[in-house]
Amino acid sequence: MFGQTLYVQWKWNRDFLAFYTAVGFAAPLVILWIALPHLGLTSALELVSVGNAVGMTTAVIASVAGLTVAWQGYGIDDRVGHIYALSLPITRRRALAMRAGAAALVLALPALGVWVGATLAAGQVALPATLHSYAGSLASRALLAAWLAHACMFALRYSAGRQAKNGPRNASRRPRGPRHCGGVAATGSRCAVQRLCLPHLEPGTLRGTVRPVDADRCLTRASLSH
Amino acid sequence: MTHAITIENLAYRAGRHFAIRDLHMRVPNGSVYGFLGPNGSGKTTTIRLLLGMLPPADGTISVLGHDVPHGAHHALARIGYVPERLHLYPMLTVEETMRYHASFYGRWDASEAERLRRAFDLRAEQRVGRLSKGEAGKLMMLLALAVRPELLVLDEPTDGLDPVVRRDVLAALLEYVSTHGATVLMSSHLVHEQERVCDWIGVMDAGRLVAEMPMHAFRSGIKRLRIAGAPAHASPTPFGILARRAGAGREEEWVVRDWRDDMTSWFANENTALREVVDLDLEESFVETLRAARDAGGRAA
Repeated sequence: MFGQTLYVQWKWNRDFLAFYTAVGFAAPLVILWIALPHLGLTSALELVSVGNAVGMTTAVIASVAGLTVAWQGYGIDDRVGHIYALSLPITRRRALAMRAGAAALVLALPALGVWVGATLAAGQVALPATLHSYAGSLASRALLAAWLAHACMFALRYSAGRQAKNGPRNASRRPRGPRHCGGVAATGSRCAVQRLCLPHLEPGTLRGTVRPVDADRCLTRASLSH
Repeated sequence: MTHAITIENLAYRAGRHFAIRDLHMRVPNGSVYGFLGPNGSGKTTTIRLLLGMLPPADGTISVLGHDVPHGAHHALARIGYVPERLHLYPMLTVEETMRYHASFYGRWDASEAERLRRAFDLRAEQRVGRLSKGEAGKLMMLLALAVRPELLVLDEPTDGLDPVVRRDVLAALLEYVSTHGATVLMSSHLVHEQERVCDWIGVMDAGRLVAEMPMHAFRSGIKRLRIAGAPAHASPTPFGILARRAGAGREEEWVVRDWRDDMTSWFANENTALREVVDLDLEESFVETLRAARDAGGRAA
């Protein structure tokens, strides 16, 4: 079950993930390549300032990756006004946990790209002994940034996004005035016959007790009073 | 009679313009229940409520003995659901979609799914996003049937399909129902299609169930009567009057329900001439029922 969810997440996000992984991989190398001739890298302080620039850049990239995955993930779930997973025999909590878990796993890819890029970049300069975990810390920072951004967007999208779509489609945009009965219209040419067309009543006009009398003989109480 | 679905006093509000109020509905076990209603009447919302996708504001819902929405996941394991619009992931292929769907259902019948895929002429490697409307409808029906459900909930399963595909989809459905004795709740605009396959009917309008009865009662009990010299205020009738309209001259046209042939004697007692009894088809019965409900609602308001 989780494997299939992970596969769906991967297949849906793989293009963006490939892009962010490539950017995450290139960022440390590019920044180092730009900084190298200007800074000279003569002291640990200069290395740290370059490292900060790389760290900030990769964290931003990872955050955008996290936001994208959450945004896209909800978009595909909610295309038709309800979430596919909610029609499956699992609890909401479990469905959300699987979706979030799958996203968290695929977001490790951009962080992995950062780690490989930073490792290669670190190999280009002589790092002081205290900075040997440079690549790992950059990747961790990117991963945490991606997870945090994803968690925020995931929470926003999955908690608030469905409110507007719960009613019948276009309920709030329904035009006023007469219209044909949908059931009759759907049956084809007889829609045009005047006697088969019902005037559309605004919802507020249908008040009163209109409910079944019993299961076998059931029309409206009001209609019985004729 | 036991019921696959029981809804009592259901209330739900979506925005300012639409609400389901005081909804009662019972779908008998083993029945094919047609769920009729015009656009925006609340059929899809009711279906989503009974599947636990939306939380009700009030009332109780029981599906296959499970309380919904709290036990919805237990009920859903025994339900095949075809939504109004394709909700599957478009980037997956047909085969991947079947695999994904199967992973959630312990009752998934892989051989039946494969048989249906071939019968429906669906290519395993075809992407869901590129399926035609007919192919998508077949795939949805395949997924619903392959879980070997006790209850099928179909939200306009044949809407927009061409006659050939519609026939294939309905044939697969009826074959399954006749073999397994499953209960079906089918919402549709296609009145004549419901007439063919359903044995119970529920009519919904503006968030209310305005009629619920066996199909034969709905089909045979509603008549249009042409009457001469009708009294201004009719005494209590043995039938229900849905509508009274002025006809030519002194004639009136009554639309009645629960009609039986032996009721003609009532007119003789009232010194009224019954000129003609006209049979209505399901579509006309549906329209008259809606009209009566709206008239009654308007008067009550």
